Amino acid sequence: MNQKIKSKALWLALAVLATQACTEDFEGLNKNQKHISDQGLSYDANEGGFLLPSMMNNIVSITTSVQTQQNLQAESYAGYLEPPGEFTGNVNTLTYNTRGRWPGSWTVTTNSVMNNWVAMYKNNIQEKYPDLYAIALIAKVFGGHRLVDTFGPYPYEEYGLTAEPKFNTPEECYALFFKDLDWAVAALQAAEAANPDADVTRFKRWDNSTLKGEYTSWIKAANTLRLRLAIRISAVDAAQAKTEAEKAIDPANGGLLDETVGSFGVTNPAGNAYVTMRDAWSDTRMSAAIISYMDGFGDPRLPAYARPATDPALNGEYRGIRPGGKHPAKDTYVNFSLPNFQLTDPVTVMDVAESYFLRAEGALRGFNMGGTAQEFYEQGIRVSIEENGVSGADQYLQSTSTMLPYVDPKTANYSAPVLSNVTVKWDEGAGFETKLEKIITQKWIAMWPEGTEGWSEIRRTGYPKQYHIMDPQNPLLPLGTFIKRLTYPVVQVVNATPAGYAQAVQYLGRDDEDVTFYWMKDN
Amino acid sequence: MKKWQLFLLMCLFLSSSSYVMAQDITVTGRVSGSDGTPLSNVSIFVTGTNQGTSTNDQGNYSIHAPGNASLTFTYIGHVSQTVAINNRTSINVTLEEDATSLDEVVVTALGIERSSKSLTYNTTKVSSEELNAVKSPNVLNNLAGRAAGVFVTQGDGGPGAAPRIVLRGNKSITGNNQPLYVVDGIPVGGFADFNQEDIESLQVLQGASAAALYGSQAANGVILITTKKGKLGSTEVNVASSAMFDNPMLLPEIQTTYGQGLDGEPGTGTNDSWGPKITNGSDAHIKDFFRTGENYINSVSISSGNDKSRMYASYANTTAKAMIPGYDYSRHNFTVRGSTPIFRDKVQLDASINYIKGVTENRNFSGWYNSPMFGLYLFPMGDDMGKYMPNGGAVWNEARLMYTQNWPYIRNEHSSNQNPYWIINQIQRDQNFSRTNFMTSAKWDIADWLTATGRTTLNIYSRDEEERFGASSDPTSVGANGSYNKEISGGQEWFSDFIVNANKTFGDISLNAFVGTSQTIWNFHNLENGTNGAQNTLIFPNYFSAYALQGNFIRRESKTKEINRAVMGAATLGWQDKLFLDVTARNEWSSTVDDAFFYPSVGLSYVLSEDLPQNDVVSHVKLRGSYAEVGNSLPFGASERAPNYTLDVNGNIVGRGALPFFSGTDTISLQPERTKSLEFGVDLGFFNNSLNLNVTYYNATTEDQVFQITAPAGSGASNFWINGGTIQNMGIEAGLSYRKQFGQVTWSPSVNFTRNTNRIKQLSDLLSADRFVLNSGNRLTNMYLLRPGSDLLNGRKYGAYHDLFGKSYQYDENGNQLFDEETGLPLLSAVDDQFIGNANPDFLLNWNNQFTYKNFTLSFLLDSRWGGLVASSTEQWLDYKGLSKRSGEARDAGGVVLNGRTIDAQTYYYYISAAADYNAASQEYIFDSTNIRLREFALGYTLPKFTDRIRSINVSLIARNLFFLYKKAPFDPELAYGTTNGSQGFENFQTPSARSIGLSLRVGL
Repeated sequence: MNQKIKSKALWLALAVLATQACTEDFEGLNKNQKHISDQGLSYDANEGGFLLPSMMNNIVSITTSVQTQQNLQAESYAGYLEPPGEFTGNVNTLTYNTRGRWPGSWTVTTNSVMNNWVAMYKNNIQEKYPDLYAIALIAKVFGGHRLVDTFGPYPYEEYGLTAEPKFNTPEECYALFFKDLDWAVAALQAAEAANPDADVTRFKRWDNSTLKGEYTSWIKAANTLRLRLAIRISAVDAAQAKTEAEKAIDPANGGLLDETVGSFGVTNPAGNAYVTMRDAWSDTRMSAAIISYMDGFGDPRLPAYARPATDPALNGEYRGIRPGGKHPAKDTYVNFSLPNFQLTDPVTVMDVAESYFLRAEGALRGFNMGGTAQEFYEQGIRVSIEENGVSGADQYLQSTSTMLPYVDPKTANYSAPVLSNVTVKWDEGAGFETKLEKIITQKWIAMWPEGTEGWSEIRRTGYPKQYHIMDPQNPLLPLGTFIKRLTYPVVQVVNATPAGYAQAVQYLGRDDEDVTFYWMKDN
Repeated sequence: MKKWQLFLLMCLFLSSSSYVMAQDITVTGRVSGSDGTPLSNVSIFVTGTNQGTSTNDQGNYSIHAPGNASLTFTYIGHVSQTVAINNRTSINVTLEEDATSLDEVVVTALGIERSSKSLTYNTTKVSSEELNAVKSPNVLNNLAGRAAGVFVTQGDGGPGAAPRIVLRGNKSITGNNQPLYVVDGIPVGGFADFNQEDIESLQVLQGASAAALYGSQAANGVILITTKKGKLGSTEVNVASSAMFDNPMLLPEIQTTYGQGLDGEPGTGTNDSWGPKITNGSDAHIKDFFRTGENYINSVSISSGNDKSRMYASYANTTAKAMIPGYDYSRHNFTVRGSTPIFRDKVQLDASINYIKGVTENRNFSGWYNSPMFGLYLFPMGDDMGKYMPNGGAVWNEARLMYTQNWPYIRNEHSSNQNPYWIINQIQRDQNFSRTNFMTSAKWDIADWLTATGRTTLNIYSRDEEERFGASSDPTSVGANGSYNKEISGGQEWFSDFIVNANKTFGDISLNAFVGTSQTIWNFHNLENGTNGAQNTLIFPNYFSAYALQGNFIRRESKTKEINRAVMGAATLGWQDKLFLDVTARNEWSSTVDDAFFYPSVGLSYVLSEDLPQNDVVSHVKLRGSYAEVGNSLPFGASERAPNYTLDVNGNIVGRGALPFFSGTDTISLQPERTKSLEFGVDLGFFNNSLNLNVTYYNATTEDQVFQITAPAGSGASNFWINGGTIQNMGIEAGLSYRKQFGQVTWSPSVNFTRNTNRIKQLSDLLSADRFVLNSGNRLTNMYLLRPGSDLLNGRKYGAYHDLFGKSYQYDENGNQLFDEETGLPLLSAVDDQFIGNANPDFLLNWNNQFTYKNFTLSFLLDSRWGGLVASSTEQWLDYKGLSKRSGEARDAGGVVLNGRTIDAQTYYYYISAAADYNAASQEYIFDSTNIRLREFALGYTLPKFTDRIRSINVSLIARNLFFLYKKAPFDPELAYGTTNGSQGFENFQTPSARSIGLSLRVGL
């Protein structure tokens, strides 16, 4: 009996020991099996391009994330769109109080454009599929310059290569943008030369944009972007600007966006997000300035951009909302002019007309743009009118009326006189500033509603003149002043990246909304 | 388990030893106490076997046994006796009371029974009588106030919603903080839905020391449930029925003097009550909205057995109609359990099946979106709700040939104001669930001191949830034709273990030890399809079907599996039955953790009273202390360096979001969270153990907290997982109980006291921010975990879990409040990061009383909660809309007088409520959650015995949440917006708490 027990106990002990520590079946268990694996993405060479759609969709977000990315910031600062209600007790980005507010202006593009680019870089796509990597680089520059223009220094050079990369100055970033565009255009031209159908086989299925998977069109978008960046630094670095601008228009490099290609925009198959923001949420309306200018000029595009106000106090006229005002009761302004978005409209990243206005300014500055400022200015207006499906360009180009004064029947002191005497009709005898104001004003109208570029150009040139906000909540920006930049997001940068933030602050002097940098006008 | 291992196990079971079987004889007899009274329910076993019976009400028994065997008689609170049969057919036994200790048998980790005096840690037993006195649809609600160390927060909503239970404080920053439920020694999920009549007893193991053997899952403490098994040698039928009726315990108080409008001007269609004085104001529409809630719980159980085998079967039906019309809940519970000895009585086989099926219909939402409370509480004063009630809140729409929502107040004010009658009829949320639990165990008596037990349990569950929003619901999120969402999920938990247990005494030394191994496999899968926001609607109006989904509708699917394996061992060494040393160890392998991890525990207890001279005052003294470590395996996927990708609704791949921390070249290997806890306690018994006190001090530190941080800008990921912090929980638990006979009245009161202090001891340098944001976004308060030394600590040395921060009033150096010179309004801090207080209570104190007089019993539970804060979004909105009582009083007084200036009431309340958005004066909407309530009340009468057919009949009048003796908040402060870590300390348009009154009937046959 005793012997028997002993032997059984031994068996049991062995059984216990044997069951331990079989961990070989743990392999791969810690992943959700219904999500797609790297292995699954290697088939059909999908690994090369699968991150591209997400990058294109988040230069300007095609979802309602755009509300906190730029609708409540740059689109208001550009005088394009304005919400009828108030958010967070009216202390927010609309009233120039940006610290710790919505971080979307930083996170949307950083997380979906920059992080996906670095994932491609780490997967060595630049070696395996240089043409697809080139598309990623173009998206990266589109996204990157908007971040730099909005905030200032950005960790562009060492992005993703270390846990805390150095923050580059805007000057450094712009130089890197040009280099990235060099690489991208060369790679696309090489791919196109090797096999004109390379884009059809490898890229087309990833392209939700209006460029429809054509490498030649992407080259044109890249060149137009180069011209945009060149013109941006034309006042602070004329030599570099001239070199880059002339490189951009050189036909050997593939040309610029034109009527045939159209604007660069991205369509959301689920429907244009601004429609949701306008209808379902009642959160976005036309801003005062865009209506005052277009209505005053007799702009044929106005019915394409906006709908007449339905508020009885406005008698069926077009009327926008003065930016950054007090309107605690949403009902007060909710029936001012609605922006006329359609569900199928793409979200525009770069308007085709910009290509002409950039050349007009280049010519005005004495760069060799292959034409005169007037030619490009007038062509830009024609292209924009045509693109919006309206007519009347000839008559409009002769218009000599100015903008209208702003009349607010709800809050009397929000009304404002005419800000500028600028007119549409070109005047070859006028001075540089008058011509520049005409070019920028018309470019601003054509680019609506892409507020980040609109706001950047206002900050660079001071044009077109804007209505100041009425309820500023920032002591550094009292009544009558304009915001220059957004402060860095507290969570993602101030707290999570102290070393980089210190570098940025050192460059800027202060992380405040009134600080100007690089290409910006000082006042 | 590999095949050969299984084979080995089977061989081991089959090769049980043979021995010579003597001739069975029938032994009968009577068991009585030392005073001669018969003892019923005494367990009688043939020594060394599982063959046994129990005594009946007259103390008589009858058993078949070999004539040369012995019988062992055991009875709680009495000294066990073993008597040799010696071929006698009649044996009467007298059992002596065990006066020296409270030596009840307690069930410990892994279902092993031990005498309570050998325990080195605190544990509290809750009897089924206590749990079942005043039943609620969810058994966990009945834990409130029943044991020290237990924090219960009522969940959001009505029947079917489980509360949040936390033992000894929150230990994990973003992980699970709720305890593990172990039924008959086996961990199970979904315990909240069990039939509480099946429970024999419930044991709370508050600390990690008691839980060390369950590993990862038990780091937050364990609730051990022992279920009814049936009785040897007798048949019983028990029927229990209860009916309870609910009414709102507390509704918001609103002003009825001022009508619809703004700035004192009337405004039809305006969704504000800042208009002129009116005479037809009434708040009746709020009370009238609710119906009387009904809860019926009926159960029947049969237990039976012969001298060897036992069986138990039960059925319970729970039917509830919530106070919100249309919200119904029903549940069926079936249990069958049987046990029998096999292989010549050497192996005890036990098996059970437990099936639960439940249906929740039309469960309402809480909060700003789609909650019926929102439109109801904020209904403009003076308008007539009667206009909007007909047709389920709808009106005939000639253009659409259908009924659409009848509500002039729909507008996007960062919320969705909808007709409450529309919501309960056209916004529906249904849930079906089922759960089946198969359990089998075999216990083999290898020798009288050695047993081996193998157990396996398979818990299979499925859930089916559907949400339907009728066409014309809230346009901010629902398209023109309505919206629909369907999720089907399910999974299983498969637990198996094998344990060899030895129990031997060598002179003064006793040893109780085991070694074992266990494995748990979890599988989970779900599939979700639905419309996507306002722009993506159904193909046809109100056609709620997957066929009606179109375009970029939401589709999500997941399938996950986790495996955990462990080997463990424990030993309790006793000396002279008064000194006990307890040692445990466990090594664990988890599929979510890169490396195996090990953790031990050690404990010591000393029954001092054994060494005291006999006296009439102190009858029992036990000192105990223990130290334990527990690891908590990582969240699924956290340590994965290359997780799989998801796709968005357009079919685009979404880049990776969170990855383990990456320093540029290296990725860290995440470690499991580890709780190290120390506890000391004393158990005292006085006056022959009629007065008992136990006090425990504990100190548990949880290190290597696993959570996500925002990745540094430019690092290439949006979030990183790190091991990043240390949280300490210290506290005291005390229980005092007394039992005294005054003539024919027996009084047995008990008091529980619970105090926990939480400290954030450290946050990793990898988190470069000065704080970890646990929750933000409720517009009133943020929950930050602050690093020691942070300026925001407001002079405190450490921050605590659930600290609340917001905008505070400003004061000058002399303590005078500061006001805006222009407007006269109080100045607020620039940022909403000022310390306001903590959501957790300072301490809990409850007082349980039971009186018995002849056939009557009276019991009540007074429960109190002291300290802790709750922010109320409801109150913020009521101020903004001019509906709060104080906003009416301010208007009566001509405005709000501040600092000698009178400020227009509307201006003032718009300002402090920030129009119900961010930037409000947080302090105005923070309420002290101190309250004392009569939580349970029961008055019962047991009918005198009038026939032999019926064993007993008991009728009781029962009530829950009868009233508050004291409270500060204008709502029930124990309601939380949800049961997650981040939703504590916040109230937001929730279903009010119920006051329930009813009857219960128990019949035993």
